[in-house]
Amino acid sequence: MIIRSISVNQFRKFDKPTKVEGLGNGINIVAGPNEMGKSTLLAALRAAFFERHRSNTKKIRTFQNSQNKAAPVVSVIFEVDGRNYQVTKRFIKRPFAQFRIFDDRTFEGDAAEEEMLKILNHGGTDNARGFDTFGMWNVFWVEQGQSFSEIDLSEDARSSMQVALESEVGSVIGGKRGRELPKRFENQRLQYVTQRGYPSGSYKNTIQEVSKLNEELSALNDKQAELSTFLNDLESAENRLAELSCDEADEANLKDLEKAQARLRFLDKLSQKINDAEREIKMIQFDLDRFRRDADQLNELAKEIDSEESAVQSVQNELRLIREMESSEFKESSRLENELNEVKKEIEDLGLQLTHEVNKQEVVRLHKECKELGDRLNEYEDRKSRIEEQNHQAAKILVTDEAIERIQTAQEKLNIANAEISANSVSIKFDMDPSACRDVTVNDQALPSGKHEIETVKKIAIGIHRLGSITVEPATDRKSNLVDTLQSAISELKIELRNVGAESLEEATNLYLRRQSLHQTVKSAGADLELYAKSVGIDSNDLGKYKNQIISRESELESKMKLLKVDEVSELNVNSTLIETMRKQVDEKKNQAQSVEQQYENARTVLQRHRLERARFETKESSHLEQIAKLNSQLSIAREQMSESELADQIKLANSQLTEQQILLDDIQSEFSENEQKMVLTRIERLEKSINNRKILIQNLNNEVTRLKATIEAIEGGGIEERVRQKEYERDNKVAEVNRAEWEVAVLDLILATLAEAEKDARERFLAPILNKVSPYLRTLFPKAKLTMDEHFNIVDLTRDLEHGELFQYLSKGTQEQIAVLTRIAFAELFAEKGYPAVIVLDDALVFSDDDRMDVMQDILTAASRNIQIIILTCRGKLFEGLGDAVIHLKTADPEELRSA
Amino acid sequence: MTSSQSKIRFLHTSDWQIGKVFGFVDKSVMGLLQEARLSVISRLGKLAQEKEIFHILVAGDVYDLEHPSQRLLNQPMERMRVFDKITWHLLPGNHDPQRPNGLWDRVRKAGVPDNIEIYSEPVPQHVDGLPMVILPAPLQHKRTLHDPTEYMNNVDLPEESIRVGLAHGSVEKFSTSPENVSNYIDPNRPETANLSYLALGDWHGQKKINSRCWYSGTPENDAFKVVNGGKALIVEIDSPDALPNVTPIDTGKFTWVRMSHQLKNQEDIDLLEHQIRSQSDELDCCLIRLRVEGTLSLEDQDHFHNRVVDGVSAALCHLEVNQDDLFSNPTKEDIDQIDVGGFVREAAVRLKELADKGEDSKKDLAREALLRLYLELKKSEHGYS
Repeated sequence: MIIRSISVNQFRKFDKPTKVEGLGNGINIVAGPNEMGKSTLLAALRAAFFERHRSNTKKIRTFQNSQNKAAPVVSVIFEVDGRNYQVTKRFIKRPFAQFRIFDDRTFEGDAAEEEMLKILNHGGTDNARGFDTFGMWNVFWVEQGQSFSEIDLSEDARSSMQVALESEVGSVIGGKRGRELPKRFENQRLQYVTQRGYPSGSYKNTIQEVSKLNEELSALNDKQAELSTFLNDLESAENRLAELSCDEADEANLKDLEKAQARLRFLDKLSQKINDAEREIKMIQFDLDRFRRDADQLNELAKEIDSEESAVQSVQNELRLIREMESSEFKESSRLENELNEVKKEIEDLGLQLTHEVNKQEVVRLHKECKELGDRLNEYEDRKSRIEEQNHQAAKILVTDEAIERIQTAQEKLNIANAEISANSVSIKFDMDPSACRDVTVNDQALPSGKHEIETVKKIAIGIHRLGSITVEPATDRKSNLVDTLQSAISELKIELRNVGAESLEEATNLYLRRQSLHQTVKSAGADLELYAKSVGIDSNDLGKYKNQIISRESELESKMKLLKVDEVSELNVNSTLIETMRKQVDEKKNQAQSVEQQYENARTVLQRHRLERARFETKESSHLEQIAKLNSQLSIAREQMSESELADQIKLANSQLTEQQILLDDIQSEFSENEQKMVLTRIERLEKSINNRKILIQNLNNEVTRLKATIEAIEGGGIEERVRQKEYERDNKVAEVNRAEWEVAVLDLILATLAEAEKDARERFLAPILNKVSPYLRTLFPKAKLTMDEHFNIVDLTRDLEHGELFQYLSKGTQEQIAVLTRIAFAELFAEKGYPAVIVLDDALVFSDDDRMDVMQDILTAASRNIQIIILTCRGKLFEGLGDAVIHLKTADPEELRSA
Repeated sequence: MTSSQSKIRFLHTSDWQIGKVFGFVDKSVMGLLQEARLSVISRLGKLAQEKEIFHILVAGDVYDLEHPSQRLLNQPMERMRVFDKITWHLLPGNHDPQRPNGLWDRVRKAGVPDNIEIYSEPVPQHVDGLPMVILPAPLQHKRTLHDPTEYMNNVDLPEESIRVGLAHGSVEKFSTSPENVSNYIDPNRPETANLSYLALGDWHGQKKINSRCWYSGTPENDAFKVVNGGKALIVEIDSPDALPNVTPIDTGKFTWVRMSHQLKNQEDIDLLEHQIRSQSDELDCCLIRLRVEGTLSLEDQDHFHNRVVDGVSAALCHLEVNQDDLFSNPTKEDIDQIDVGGFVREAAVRLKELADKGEDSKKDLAREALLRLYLELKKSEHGYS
């Protein structure tokens, strides 16, 4: 197929009839500036071939010019198999379609579109296989920015390619049926296992059942083994019981037991005799010991009495000596006691005298102290009354700080009023003889003597005797005001002075100074008074305390004087030397008394010790005497029971009996063996135990037999072996099911694997034609390079050095674009060879290619253009200058041919 | 005891093996086979009644198990109890030996019908009203190293007694090592013990050992390998010295058949089908173990499955087919039928190669896979999903 011209009107940005014509076989470069409308041309091309003229979809509406919203029109003239065709379509408003076969018929409306599709799908020939090739046109017509991306074939395009390639490689692919077969086997496989091969559904259940059955079987086998053990145990127990019932061991044991018991009885009798003899010996020995003990006791008592008597003698001697010493010491003690009493009497007398003297001295001192205290208080009170007087005087003066300030202020106001009047007054001077001045009156008042000048602000009449009068009126309009101010100031001053009792400012000032002076004096005297009070111990805030102190001292003084029985202090004669002498005498006597008292205490201590010693020996003496009496009493009692001679006879008799009994014991012991007795006892125990054990054993065996029979009966009743067989049967059946399923899965796996492998190989062969087409171009660009493509015609990788493949998406943009263009060329060539329409349109492609690559790509495009038409839409015409083809520009088209609506 | 007759007649049977489990059949068939083993007791009883025989000697293995359930234990007893004119003489065999507190003690404990005698001890038993003395040789264990009939040599009985031995074991030593020979019975025992007849059990196929010594065989066959099974013997003895008159009778309901067949083409398959159908008038009581060998095309294999494996087998009680030696030889037509081209055909060719030349472990898988591929495509051709 060759596109000859494309015309548009009111199609997006083309709001005027525009066309591209002169498109020839091979390469066509349509160049123009940016925004020329290249992409719109491509959209118009698609609209002409693919869009139904009656369609009113959103996409169709985008064809309208955004300004005038007129009906878009497109017309394309193309050639297929040497015949020219023209398709013209108008969309949206008054939609219209026309398909013209040059030099032949013209179709309109739906028939036009149907007819065109026939031509395009059948390639205009009868020998080509019919199929929808439009899917691939999107691959051949590459919009701006799409040329360098991976070729993402739509399902339709892929299908078209597959059909095209199958016709190339025959029926390598198993057709529709072949493609369904793996799915069918896969579905069969999914009945047994999951996608990943894990058992599922009934197969999985059967495996679980086998596992469960094995567990149950194991439990049953255990139970069966247990039953077998029980049966063996039962047999053993019954055999053992049978053995025991016919065993003669019990009888022999019983005979032995009887013999042993008889022998034991004999030995027990001997043992009893030995015990009797030993007991008799013990009793005789006991009596003998008692007699000996009694004899010893008598002897001992006599000895004790002798010893006690000798001790009493000794104690009594000691006692005599102690009593003598005690008497002597008592005398010494009495003497010292008398001496001590005398000294104490002397001290007491001296003390009384001394106290009298000291009291006299104290009265004198107290009297003096009371006087001093009274004087100080008087002084304090005098000073205080003087201060109060001065304070009183100051209070009488009314000129306080505020009052003097107010007076001074009033004076100042008066001064100001006078000054103002003076300034506004008229001064009238009388330059006259002073005598003549007497004839002058002012307002009928004589002119004050010596005054030759007056000032006035008021109207005054100056009379001159006999001459008449002269009226003077100062020319001021404030005279009334000035006079009022002056009067007010005078009045104010007078009030203030009257308030403080002064006549003038000077008097007031003097009063104020006087008041200040009095205050100063009071303050100073107050401070002195405080100092004085402090120095004499007066608390000015608590004067009563000081007065109480004086009263206390006076009371003390009075009591002392009463004690001394004097009325006046002056009656007392105080002698300090006598007091000192008396004090020394008292001290001496005290020392003497102390010494005598010490001697007396020593003597008393020694006396006390002698007394205690005497009491101790007296007690001792009495104790010995009591002991002697007691011992004598005991001795008498003992002798009354049995005398020494009687005891000697009894001892002799007992010795004889003891010897006799010992001989008898020796005789019996020679017949008895304790060891034998023990052995016989042990044997009896053993035999009894053995007989008893056998009884218990038989009992236990009987119990065991009963228990085992019950257990066996219970297990056998359940038909354990039957159940084992049944379970084995079930298990074996399930195992067989599992084995069948495993076999089934293995068979299906093998089928699927073989099919997959065969399909993969077939696909490789299937892709070979495309790769064969791409390879020459690719090697022009990259010598020795190899392209890998998957069965969906996606480019997987590029191997440039025959060793390492590079994934397509990691190649540079330029390389991706170049390979994508090559692949599209290969697809188009393949299509063209089959007689299907294939035109490549590249919109601003290869812009990322460097100069070298661009040269090679231009060679490739040139080579490809021998078989297929290539239309290059570009805003960089210079880039494709190397192709040597003429550049086609947009032209104005005939409005009549492209009438819009 | 007084002998009122000098001639004796009895029925000799053995190896009932009640409770036997048939692992190779499905559940429903197993139920039929197990029921058949009980039914044959009644059939023996009826047969004896018809022939006016009043004694049935069972030479061991009444039960298949040593520890059956109580129901199973009672089932044969109840079948025998019905025939109250007949005395059933039961002998413990290797499957149901006499053990203390074992199966037979349980039977006794449950109550033995009056018309049943159980021989737990090797003690001669005079039969009331007959000169017959039964010398039983019950087995005490599954395996006995000594000949249990040996004691019969030393049993003294009146000269007029017809001595009948009843034993269970093998008259052949299958092992050369003495310690492995178990339950051996000297086939000359009738001679050494002066027996008129030695009734044996253990072998499931009926067999005459000598004129006085017979295996009755099992009355209902239970395995494909058994030859002459499903039978019993009627024994008549006129006097102690007279040779017994032994008459085999058929008692079995089910026919067990082993078949082997060569298959090369569809004609062979059709012939095999015909042969199978001719095996019995009652195919539903027929069990067949079929072994086929040969080489078939995929199409013929499909035919074999349709006619035999899925076809005639439905008429049988059970069909077991061993195809280990039946190989597939896919023809070009087979492969063409799978597909004339495309990867499916390629896969079929590869599977055929694997089946012909691959590892042994893979060959069977590959054959099956190829057949499945073929069948699947055939199915899809016929519109089956």
